[in-house]
Amino acid sequence: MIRKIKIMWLAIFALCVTSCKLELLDNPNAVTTSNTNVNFLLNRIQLNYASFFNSTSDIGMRLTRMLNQGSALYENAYSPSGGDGLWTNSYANILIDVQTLIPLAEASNLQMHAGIARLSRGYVLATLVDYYGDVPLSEALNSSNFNPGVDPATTVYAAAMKDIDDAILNFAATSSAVPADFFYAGNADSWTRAAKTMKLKLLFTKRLSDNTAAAAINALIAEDKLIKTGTQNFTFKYGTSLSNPDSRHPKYGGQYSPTGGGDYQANFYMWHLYAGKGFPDPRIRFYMYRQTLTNTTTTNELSCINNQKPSHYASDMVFCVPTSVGYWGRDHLSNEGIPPDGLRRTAWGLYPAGGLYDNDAGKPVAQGVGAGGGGILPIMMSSFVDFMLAESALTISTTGDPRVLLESAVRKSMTDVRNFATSTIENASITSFETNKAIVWSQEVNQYVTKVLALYDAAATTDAKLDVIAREYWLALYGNGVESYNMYRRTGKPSKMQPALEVNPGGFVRSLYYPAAVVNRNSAVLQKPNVTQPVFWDKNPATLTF
Amino acid sequence: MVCSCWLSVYAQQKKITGKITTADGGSELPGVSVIAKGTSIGTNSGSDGTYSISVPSGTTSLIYSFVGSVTQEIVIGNQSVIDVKLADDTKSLQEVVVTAQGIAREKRALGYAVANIDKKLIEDRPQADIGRTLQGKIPGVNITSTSGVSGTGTNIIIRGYSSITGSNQPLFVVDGVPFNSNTNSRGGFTGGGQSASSRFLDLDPNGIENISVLKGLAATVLYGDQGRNGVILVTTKNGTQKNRPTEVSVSQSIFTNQVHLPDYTSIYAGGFQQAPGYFFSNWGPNFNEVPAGSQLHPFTYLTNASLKAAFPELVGTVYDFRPYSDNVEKFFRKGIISNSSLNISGGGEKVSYNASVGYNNEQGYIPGNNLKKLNIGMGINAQLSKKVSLITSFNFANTDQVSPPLSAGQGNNTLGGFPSILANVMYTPLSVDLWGMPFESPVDNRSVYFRSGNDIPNPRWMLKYYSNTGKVNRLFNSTSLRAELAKDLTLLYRVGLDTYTENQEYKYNKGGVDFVNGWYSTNDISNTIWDNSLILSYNKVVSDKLSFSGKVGGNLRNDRFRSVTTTSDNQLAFGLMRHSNFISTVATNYEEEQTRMGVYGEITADFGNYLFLNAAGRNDWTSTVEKDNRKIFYPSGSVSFVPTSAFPGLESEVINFLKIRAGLGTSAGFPGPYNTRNILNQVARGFVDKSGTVSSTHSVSDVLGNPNLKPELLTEYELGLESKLLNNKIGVDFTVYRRDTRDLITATPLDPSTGYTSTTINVGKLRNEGIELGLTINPITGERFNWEMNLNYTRNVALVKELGGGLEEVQVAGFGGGLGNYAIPGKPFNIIKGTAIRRDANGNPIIGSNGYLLSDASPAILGDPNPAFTSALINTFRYRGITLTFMIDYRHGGAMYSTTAGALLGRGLTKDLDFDRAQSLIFPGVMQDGQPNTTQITASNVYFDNYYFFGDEGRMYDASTIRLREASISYSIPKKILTKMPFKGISLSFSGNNIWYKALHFEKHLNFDTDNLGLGVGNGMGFEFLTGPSSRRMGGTLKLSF
Repeated sequence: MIRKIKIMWLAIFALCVTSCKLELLDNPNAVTTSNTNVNFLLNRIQLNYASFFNSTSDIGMRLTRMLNQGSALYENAYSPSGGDGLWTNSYANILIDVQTLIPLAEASNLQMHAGIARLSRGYVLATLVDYYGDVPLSEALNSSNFNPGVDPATTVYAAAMKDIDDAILNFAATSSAVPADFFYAGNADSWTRAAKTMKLKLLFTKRLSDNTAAAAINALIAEDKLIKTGTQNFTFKYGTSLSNPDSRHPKYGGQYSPTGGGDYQANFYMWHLYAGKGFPDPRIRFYMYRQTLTNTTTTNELSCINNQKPSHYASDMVFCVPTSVGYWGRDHLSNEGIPPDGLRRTAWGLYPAGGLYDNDAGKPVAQGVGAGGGGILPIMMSSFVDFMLAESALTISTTGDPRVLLESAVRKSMTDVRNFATSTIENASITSFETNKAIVWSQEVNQYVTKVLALYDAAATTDAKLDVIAREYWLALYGNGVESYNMYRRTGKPSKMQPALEVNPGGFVRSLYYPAAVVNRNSAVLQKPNVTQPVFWDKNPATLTF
Repeated sequence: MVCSCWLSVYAQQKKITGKITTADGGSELPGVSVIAKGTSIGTNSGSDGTYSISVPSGTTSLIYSFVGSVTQEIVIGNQSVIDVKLADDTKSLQEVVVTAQGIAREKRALGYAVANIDKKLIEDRPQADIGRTLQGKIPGVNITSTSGVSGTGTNIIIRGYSSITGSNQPLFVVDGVPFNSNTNSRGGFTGGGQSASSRFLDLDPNGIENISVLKGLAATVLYGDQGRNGVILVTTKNGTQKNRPTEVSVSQSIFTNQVHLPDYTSIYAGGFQQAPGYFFSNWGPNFNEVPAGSQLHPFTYLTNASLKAAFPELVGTVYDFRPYSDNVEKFFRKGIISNSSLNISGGGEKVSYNASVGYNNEQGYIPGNNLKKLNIGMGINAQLSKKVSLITSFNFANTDQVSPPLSAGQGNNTLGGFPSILANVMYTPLSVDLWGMPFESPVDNRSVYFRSGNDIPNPRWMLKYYSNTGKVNRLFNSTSLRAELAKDLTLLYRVGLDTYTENQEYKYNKGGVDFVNGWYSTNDISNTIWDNSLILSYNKVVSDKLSFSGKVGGNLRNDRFRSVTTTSDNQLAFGLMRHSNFISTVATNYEEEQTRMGVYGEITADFGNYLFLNAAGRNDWTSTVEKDNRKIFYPSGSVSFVPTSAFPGLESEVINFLKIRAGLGTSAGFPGPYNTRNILNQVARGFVDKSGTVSSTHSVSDVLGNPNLKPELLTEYELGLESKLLNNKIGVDFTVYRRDTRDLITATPLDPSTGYTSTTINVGKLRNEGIELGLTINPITGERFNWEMNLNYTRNVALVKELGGGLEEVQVAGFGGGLGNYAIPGKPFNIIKGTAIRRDANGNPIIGSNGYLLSDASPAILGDPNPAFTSALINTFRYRGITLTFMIDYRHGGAMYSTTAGALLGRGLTKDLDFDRAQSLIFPGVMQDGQPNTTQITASNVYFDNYYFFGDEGRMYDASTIRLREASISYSIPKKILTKMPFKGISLSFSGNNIWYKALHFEKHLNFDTDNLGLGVGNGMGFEFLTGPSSRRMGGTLKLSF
């Protein structure tokens, strides 16, 4: 018996030693670099790029009164800890994936893949500079350096420009295969135009700091390869899938639910759309959706209705409710708590979020209604190009007549918005409403354009003319806070924006604090003293009031 | 152990008879071998324990032996009747404790602290969770409930947190082999993780014979890295080596389980700014200011037209606007806990057995929360041959938990969009007729509640249509084969198998607020541990004054974890919970395997029974790091010196016993698997465009693999003193320790500029220093009346010494970058940071022009959640058969962030706020220009808009708490009376758990219990997120043995 037991011991032990091995280091649950797929990598880069645009745009929109900014003080508006997500998406998602993709794509002559990746990187780097100033580049994305220092903003901008130039070369070359991209479905011409327009945007943005910008812009104009028509618009197009994954426009997803809620629109912007010209902007029914057609009379829903306008608000400045017909959002830097108004406050409309067209229904939002969230991110529209060219023609005398460009820009904006709207399922609602109300779109647009041109002609100085152009650009930019935030710091326009509710909200945010994730984890990056530090192209005086 | 083989009987010269009983209980022991020394003559005791043997003349003594008992040799002399009491092998000498690898040793020989918990402190308690049963009973061990909801997890920390991001939970060793004690939560604290159980819940407290807790590294070194957080050694009744009398014992307990609730105002109504309204808040007017008939039914204001249309009979009707004071109280129930157990033991000459069955049926205090546990076990001790014996125990556990969803809430619906039953219940406004109004739409079963936007899920609806279930089937076996190879040389082989499947289901019907379209997730987990040990031990007695013992062993452990998570959303038919009833389904499976091998050795030397030396070491190889870092050796040493034995003159009536001990231990912590190599994330369905085309994505994982990852190193010194004073009336057991962890394996957050957001690296140093004191005082010792006091005191100071790598802080737990626990060099571990009030240089709050507080831009330090000390006092009085015990514990200090306080005070609910709310208030502080603030604001502004719902600072409290943890009275019917009955023992007891408490610095009417862990089982502490108040459990137990 003992022998049997001894043999049993030996057998069990031998079995265990051989079956339990220590080579268990490869994660059996994941993909590794050896079996990745360039198409899949590019898909993720594009999706993360869309999300990058959405989050930077959101910041810009709030600071430029296109949406409510819900802090009392500018310093608290974008606190360091709030920036971690954006930084993570930039570096740990997009930039590292681009760095991984380019050699793989080029090894297989997937030129367009490489070009799209480069263009995305160029845009991300330039926007990081626009928002933060100096950011890490040369020491970044290196797994053996946990403390990458920052590079001067001009260097990063130059690198962004180089990426865009390289992307243009990629798009010109013949690819072994075309990716299923989310922007242009592999159309090389459109990609080239997008890249060249991005180049224009960068040159234009730094025009105050670079006296060669005008010549370079003129060269681009002469080349005539900028985004010109609506079909060339550089937009990310969301789907309508509710889950697995939620592919809807994030602004729609955050608001079109059984309980509503989500963003507060900015009272100041809505006032401009509704009453700024003396008659409603033709785009207002596409931009804004009213859940009610009358203003609330209960402080339970809107606590400021019985409050006095703050004494530092000008007499003609909008306060609390911008109109009498149910548009209500928030004043600038209002940090109030949230009353039960989720199904009452003004919601995102059909453009660009893919929500409801405002046909005076006055009904609460709900999940799935309108265009189901199949909205767009208006990253670069044909109208934006003309606005930029109008501003640069006016200020740095690039080719073109600013007045002509302004008119063209406004008309293109109207067309972009309407074309998007009528391409959606809401078209029927638009048609029937316009028929009932005898609204003729072209007349509305002409009336508006006439008014704008009259304002332009009435503007006596270049600065006043710039104010007209900028205000129209701002009104066309709904959904794109990146350009409006840049414009506001570049020009200080539109002028006379709604002030903060607080008398002394601190200096305007001229660049964001570095995220907490950077300063707390990276000994080579020190936090800025305050948020009033301008970025390199912002040559406006510190005294410029916003 | 001696085997009794005997042949025929020779000359019959003397007959000896007697009865053999157990030393502790006096039960008859059948099957005991009785042998005449020096002969092969012997017999066995009969079923009643009696024996009769005829021995040849010249036989000097008889040898009594029995499996699991200490063999006794008794000189015959001229006796003819010899009654023998056989003592348990592990209990033969007083103060014998079980140490690492199941080795029973005299406590006086140990150079380190070991706590021994007798079953009397564990059994017949109202808590089915062994962790909670031990709360406060062991110095140096800090046990916290995640919530009072039945079946939720329990956090156990021994001697402080010694790893920043690694596990700090102790190793459970049951019957000598490792027992998985994970808390398999499906999401984090905002993702529904709060309802998960800790898997030591599968142990039946009534089936436990004994628990030893090895606290320091000097004690745990033989377990290698697995023992670094301390070891809880559990011996089940089925796995014990003790002798087993023939006995059947049955016990039945019934307890009630009742929630502790705040005291609500009865004066003020729901509303805001003194105006009535259907808000979250209760800042409405005094009820007597609201004219009767002035308020319409809340459904009148529903914004959702179709929902409103479903209630034509209520819309527009006059609402009975009055205090519904029992809203919250009625939401909870008095749960009944029933616990039955049956234990049968017995045996014969070569084999003894134990079988046990336990069934626990616990109703939680929330309807729909139940915990059912069935434990079946069987243990066998067998003498296979003269030299070989076998012990095996099988334990089967079936745990069935049902719970409504639990996730963190901040007093404003749930966080992170995961539903939680208690997120909104506790602050239901007084004027809301929770029990009188419908909670679902008769049309489509949608939830309906009092807010116009219908953005609060009705809690009654959630009770009916949301539930989580967790079903566990677990089999646990430990088998040891022991062979005596030669005199004093023993070989032991032990194999353990711990395997379980846990099937979790999360069933949320459509029509709610958080998962509007319905959500169903199943998570099927299986976990298996195989553990093999081979130990060779040798004892050598050199002389009366010197003896040695030594052992060498090898251990091999393999852990496999698998899970398959299937999540569906967009429910088709209401009520049906099948994946096929949902439009979209995503499944992921995950596997993890790790192996560790260790060899270890230990030498102990005993010099004259007053000086004991112990040296041990273990070398480990593990599979979770790359080859170069795989091997690690950890030594330990300890010494115990007993001056009262070394210098006999020292021993006196004042000092009966004195022992000084010192220990030095090292250990290591290995990382979890798969941290050394890079991976890419894959999403099969990354995007669906308008036309329905699905795109898949790959991206470089944000987690950087670190091929250089190595184990973290722990070093601990401990010094102790044990003494018995004043005729043994006072016993002292005192320990001081310092534990340093270096090269901490930290899931270090990285600046994303590196391309990654975290990696696992070895950085920094963490130090825990502490004091443990156990005092036993017997003020009165008498035959009839006895009073015993036990005092436990624990103080641990955890300090982050350095982080390294350019890191200024690491968030241990919490909300990314914001409120949470942090490791910051020079600060106590787990310090709480969050949004603070903006203050000027003199510390005055800065007030905005609207009279409101302003906040800081970056999170600031708000408090240290580590208690200054915890202590417990257990008093036991015995009078004849009556025993009265009560246990009071006290926690001093430690900051706590309380959402219950924030939500109830911020929303105007408790009696603490029954002041005149109509008066306006001015925040003391300065305006931005430095002038004193003069702006008047209302009470609701102060409490809601500012203090409690503004930033995080207002919700911070000092969590000092005094508590009547346990009280019981029990009565055992004296044996004299029982002799006429078929019973060996009858006892009846009444006991309660968490009977009374007071959190000293919280507002009185909150009745807040600080025994809560909002962040769930893990390394975070000091947070409470409305995941369930504690409960009071009271009841009785009847116990019979025959």
